[in-house]
Amino acid sequence: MLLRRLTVVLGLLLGAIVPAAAAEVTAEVTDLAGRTVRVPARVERIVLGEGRFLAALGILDRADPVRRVVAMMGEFPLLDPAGYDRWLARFPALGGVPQVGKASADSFSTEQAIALRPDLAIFGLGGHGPGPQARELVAQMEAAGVTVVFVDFFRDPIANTPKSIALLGTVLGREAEAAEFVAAYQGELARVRERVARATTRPLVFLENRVGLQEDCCASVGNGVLGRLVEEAGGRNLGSAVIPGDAGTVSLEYLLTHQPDIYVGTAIGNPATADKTPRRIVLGPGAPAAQARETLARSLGRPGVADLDAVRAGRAHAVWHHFFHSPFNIVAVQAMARWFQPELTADLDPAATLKSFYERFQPVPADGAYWTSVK
Amino acid sequence: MAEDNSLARRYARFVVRRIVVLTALAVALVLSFLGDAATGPSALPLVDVLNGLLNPAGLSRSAEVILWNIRLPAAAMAVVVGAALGLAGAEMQTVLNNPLASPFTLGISNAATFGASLAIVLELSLFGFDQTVMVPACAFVFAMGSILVIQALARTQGTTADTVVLFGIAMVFVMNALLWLVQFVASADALQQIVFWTMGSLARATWDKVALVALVLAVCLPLSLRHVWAMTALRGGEEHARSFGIPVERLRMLVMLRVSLLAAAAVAFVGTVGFIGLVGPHIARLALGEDHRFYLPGAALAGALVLSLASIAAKTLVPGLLLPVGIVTALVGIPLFMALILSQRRNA
Amino acid sequence: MTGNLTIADLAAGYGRRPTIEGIGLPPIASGTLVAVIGSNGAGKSTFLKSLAGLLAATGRIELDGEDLLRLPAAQRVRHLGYLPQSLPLGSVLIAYEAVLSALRAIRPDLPRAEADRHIDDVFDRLELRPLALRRLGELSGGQRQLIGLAQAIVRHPRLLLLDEPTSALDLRWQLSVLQTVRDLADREGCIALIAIHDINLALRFCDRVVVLNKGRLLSTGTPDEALDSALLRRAYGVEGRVEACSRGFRIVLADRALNDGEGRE
Repeated sequence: MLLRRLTVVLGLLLGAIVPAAAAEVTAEVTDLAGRTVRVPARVERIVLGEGRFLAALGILDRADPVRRVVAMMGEFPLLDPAGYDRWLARFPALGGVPQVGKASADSFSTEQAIALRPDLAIFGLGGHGPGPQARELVAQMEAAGVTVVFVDFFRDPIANTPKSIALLGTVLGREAEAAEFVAAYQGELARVRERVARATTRPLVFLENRVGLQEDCCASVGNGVLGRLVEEAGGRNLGSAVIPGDAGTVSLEYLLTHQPDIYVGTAIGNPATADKTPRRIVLGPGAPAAQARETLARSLGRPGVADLDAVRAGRAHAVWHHFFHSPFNIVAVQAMARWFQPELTADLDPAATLKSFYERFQPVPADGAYWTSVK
Repeated sequence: MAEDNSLARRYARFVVRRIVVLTALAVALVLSFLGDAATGPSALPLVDVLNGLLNPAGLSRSAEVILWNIRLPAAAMAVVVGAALGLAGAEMQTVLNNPLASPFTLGISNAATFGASLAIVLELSLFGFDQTVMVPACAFVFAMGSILVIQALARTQGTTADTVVLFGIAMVFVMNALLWLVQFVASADALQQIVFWTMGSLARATWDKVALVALVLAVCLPLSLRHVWAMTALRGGEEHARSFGIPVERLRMLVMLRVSLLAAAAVAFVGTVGFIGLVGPHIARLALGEDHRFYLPGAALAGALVLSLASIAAKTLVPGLLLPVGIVTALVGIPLFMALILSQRRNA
Repeated sequence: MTGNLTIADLAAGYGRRPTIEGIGLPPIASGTLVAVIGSNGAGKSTFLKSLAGLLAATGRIELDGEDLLRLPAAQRVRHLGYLPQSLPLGSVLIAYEAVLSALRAIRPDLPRAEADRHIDDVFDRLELRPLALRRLGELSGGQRQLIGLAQAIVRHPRLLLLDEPTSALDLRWQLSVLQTVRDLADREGCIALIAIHDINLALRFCDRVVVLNKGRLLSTGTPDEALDSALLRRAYGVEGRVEACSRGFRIVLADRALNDGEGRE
C-alpha cells in the first residue's frame, strides 16, 4: 500500500517536473544564413519574406497553409499570376492577407509587419524580399519578439532545398511532413545524378533567362543558380564562360560564333495576359500545351536566334521559370536532363514526377504545360 | 544720444521680431516631429504615441519597437538631415552669391551616389564592416573627395564663385557618367538597390546613424556661426566685403568644406534628398532677412521643418505605401520653389 | 584725428608686369581731399586698390609714420576705408545690417553700446536715417552708394579711398556724395583720395589733384598747379583750356579731340 502511494506521489512529482523542464528546452537550429535561431514554442503567426514561400508552407501545412500566414510580400501575384490564382481559388482567405511590400527588399514595411504581431518571419537568401544583408531590419524584427529564419530555394537550390524544408519542418512542428518531402526530393535527385554521372559528353547549353523581359537578346546566366542546375542536368552552361556574375547578357554575335548544342529558354508568360506580352513564352499552371509550343516557336523566330544551329535543328526547349524559386526545382532538372542526356535518362518521367509531387505535397494542382520543346 | 527712438532701438525691434520667428519655426518643428512619430502604416493611436514617448515600458512590445526603433529614428533623421541640408544650402547661396545654389550644386550627391553604387556592386566589405557601414562610408568618402578635387582645381584658376561652379558642374557630369558605367555592369539586384538609394529614404534610419549626422551638425553649426559677420558683409557685395579685410577666397573655401561635410553626411545615410537645401534657405530669407545671425539657424530650422513635413507626406500621400522621401521633396519642392521665386519677383 | 600720408615709389599690378610704377607724392596733410584723375586705363583703380591692400604692392605707404605695406591685412584695414567701384548688392540685407556687418567684420570685439553709437552716428552724418531700416534691394543706386560710403566710414578711418563713387549716379547724387566726403574731411580730418572720371566735379571739391597716365604719375598739386593745357593734351588727348569759373573754382573746357599722334604721350 505504502509502495503504491509512494509510486503515485513519485509519478506525480516526476510528471510535474519533467514537462516543465521539457517546456524550457526549446530547440536551436541553424538557418540557411548560418544564424543560430531558437525555435519558438508555438508558431501561429507567420510573415513571408516572399509570397512564393507559400509553396514551402504547402508541403508542411497540407490542410491549410494560409491559416498561419498573417502577412506576405507581394511578388507572387505580380510575377506568377496564374499560380497565384490557383492558390486564391483554393484558399480565398489568401486574398485577405495583407501585403507588407511589393517585389523588392526595400519595399518591405517593417512597421506593418511588426504591427501584425507575428511569431515567425521567413526570409530568403536572395530574390525578391529582404535578405541577410538587411541586418537592421532583422534586428528590428527580433527586438519586437519575432523569430527570423532564412531559407533558400534560389541561391543554391539543389543543396539548400532539402535543408530549407527540414528547417521549416522543425520550426513549424511538422518534422514528419518535412522528412517525407526531403526523402522524395533526394530520391528524385539521386535518380538524375546516377544517370547523368554516366555521361561521356555534355552538350553546350545556352540558357536564355526570362525570355521576352528585355527587348533584345540575349539575357543569360553565369555560373550561379541556373547555371549550376544546367550542369546538374548534364549540360555545360555556355554563359559560365562569358558572364562574370550571376546574370548578364551574351551577344548574338558570340552565340553565332560559339554555337550552342541546345537552346533552353525560361518562360515567364502566362495564359491570361499572353496577348499583352507577346514576346514571352507561356508555361505554367493552366498553360495549354499548344499555346506553349506556339509561343516558343514565335520567340525562336527572332532574327539571329532563328539562325542558331540548335534552333534550326529543333534542339530548342523552354521551361517554366518559377521552378527556380520553388522547392520543386528538381522537376526542372529532370526535364532538362531528358533533353541534355536523352539516352541515359530514357526511363525518367519528369511529368510523372511533377504530378506525384504536387499530389503528395501541394494543395493546388499542377495543371498545364510546365515545359515544352520545338519537336 | 538722448533720443529714445535711436536707430539701434528701432533695429532692435527687428531683432526681436526675428527671434519670435525663429521660436515659431522651432515650435512648428517640434509639432511636425511629433506628427511624424504619430503617422505610419500601422494604426498607433495618438494617445499611445504620446504615452510611449514618456513611458516606453508602458507600451506593448511591438508598439514599443515600432515607435522607438522605427518611427522615432526616422523622424529624428528627418530633423537632423533637414537641418544639415538647410544650413549647408544657406551658406552655399551666400558664398556663391546665387539664390539657386544648393549643397548639391557642386556634384556632391552625384559623387556620393557613385561611391554608394561602387560599394553595392562590388559588395565591398573591408575590415570586417559589412554593407550597412560600407555603403554610407563610400558615399561619404567620394563626396568629400569630389569637393577636394574641385577646390584643388579652382585654386589654380583663382577661386572665384564662377570658377567653382564651373568645376562643380563638370564634376556632376563626370560622376553621372561613372554611375551609369557602374549601373551598366551591375546585376539586377544591385541595380535595384542603387536606384532605391538614389531616391532618398528615411526608412532605414537607426539611432546610430542619427547620432552621426547630429554630430556633424553639432560640429559645423558653431563653426558657421563664427563667420556670421563676414557672411553678412558678403551679402553687401564681394568687393565691399574684401575691402573690410574679409579674405573672401579663403572664406569661400572654408565654407565649401563645411557645406560638403554637412551634405556628404546627410546624403551618405539618407540618399539624395533634393530641394531641402534650396527651399530651406529661401524660407529663412523671406522670414528672417539676411543677417546671418538669424538666417543660418533659420535655414537649418526651416530645412528640418520642410523635411519633417515631407516625411509625414511620404507616409500619408499614398495609403499603405511609404514613398521614398526624395520623391516627395522633389514633387512638392518644385512647385513650392517656383511659388517662392515668383512671389519674390512680385514683391521686388 | 590727424593723418599725414606719404607715398613713395609705389608699384603694383595684377600680373607679372606692374600696372602702376614709380608713384610718389609729397606728404598729404589731414583733412585733404585729393582727386585722382586720368583717362581710362591710367591706373586710378589700381592705385587705390594698392593703397587699400587689395593688390600686392612695393614701395612705401606711410600713414602717420606707420608703413602700411608692412602691416598684416587685418591690421591695415583698421586704418582705412575703401569704397569699391561696384554698388552694394541689391539684396534683402537691411541697410543698418550692412553697416553693422562692416563694423563687426573688423571690430568684432567692440562693445554693443559703442557699436550702436558708431552706426547711429554715421547714419546721422550722412543723413541716411530714413533709409536705415530699408532693404538694400529697395534702394536706388545713389542711395546704395551712400550706404557703401557709410560702410567705409563707420570705423572713422584715417584714410578714405573712394573708387569712382559717382560714375553710376545722376547729378544730384554725385553732388551729394562728394559734398559728404568734403564735410567728412573738413570735420574729422581724414584724408580722402577719390578716383573720379568727371574732372570738373573733381575740381569743384578737391584740394589737390593727382594726374595719372599709363600707370605713371603725370602731375600733382593744387588744381592751379597741376593742370594746364599741355597736361590735358598729354593726359587726355584733347585740346582744351583750364579756366576759373565765376566762383573761383578751376574748370576744364575741352575744345576738340586730338587726332592720333598729335601731341599725345
